Amino acid sequence: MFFSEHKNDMSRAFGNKILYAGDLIIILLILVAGLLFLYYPRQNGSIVTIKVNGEIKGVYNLNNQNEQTITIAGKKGPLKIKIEKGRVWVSESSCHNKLCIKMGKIHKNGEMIVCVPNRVIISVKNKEEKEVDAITM
Amino acid sequence: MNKKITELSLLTAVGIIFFTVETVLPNPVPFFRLGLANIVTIIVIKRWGVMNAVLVLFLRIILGSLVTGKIFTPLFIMSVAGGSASLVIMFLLIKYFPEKVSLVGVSVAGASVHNIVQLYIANCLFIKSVYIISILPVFLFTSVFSGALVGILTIYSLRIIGQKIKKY
Repeated sequence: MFFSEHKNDMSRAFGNKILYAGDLIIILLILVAGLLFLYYPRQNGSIVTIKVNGEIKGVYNLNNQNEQTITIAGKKGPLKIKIEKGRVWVSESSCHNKLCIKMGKIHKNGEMIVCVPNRVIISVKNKEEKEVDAITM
Repeated sequence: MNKKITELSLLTAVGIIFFTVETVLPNPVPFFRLGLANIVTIIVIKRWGVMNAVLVLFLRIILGSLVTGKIFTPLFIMSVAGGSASLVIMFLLIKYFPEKVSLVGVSVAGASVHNIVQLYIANCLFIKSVYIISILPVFLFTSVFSGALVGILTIYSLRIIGQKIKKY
């Protein structure tokens, strides 16, 4: 039914031409714009904020020379967070998929590591930003 | 004249249903929507011209926000801004590139412009953070898929409407 009238032409559906060169150009432009924003150069951050269940549990200096290991109690269990040489990462986690460990080391302004099972959000910022209390949609 | 009023009201009603269902349904990601109401906007641009599309769009957003209880909230302002911007882009594409861009391209462009403007407004109004830039690529990639889906549905709907209207 989908391509019944023009069996060999994949650019047609329901008998109407649905893909012109212009469409492909538009889609390509959007994908390129998306990739550009994905690799948008960002400044290095200086502050690490750790939140559990939306509550701020601690604010740390990212550029501290000494290695820091922070143990945080998440919803499922403990989480070990390391800060060293301007980078922050999760070294041990009590969650089952260990995605937060696989997210690696972060240091740029606006980057974050999220551990969903533990409800932990670790974010890197440049300075204290004004935050909203809540957003209702 | 009566035919026009009937069809425009019917399309507005369909738009409000899409708008309401999409707002009420739980989203996996905040702000993310398929944009099914965009089908109505494109149909009106195609069949009744851009001025009627503006009318239907604003009626849909105002009445839809009244139904969902979100009128004059940030979401309402974001809907108005995003909807108007995507309407302008879709109208320009339909008017100036009729043989170069199909409704799939029109709807993909409309969806991505809608998302960009919405995020920009959210950034100006209340979030004020670099996170917006981190979310934008995700929105652009998803708008390609949702826009293409909406475009194909629109082509199909326009065809059905064209066949049904002839019978009366």
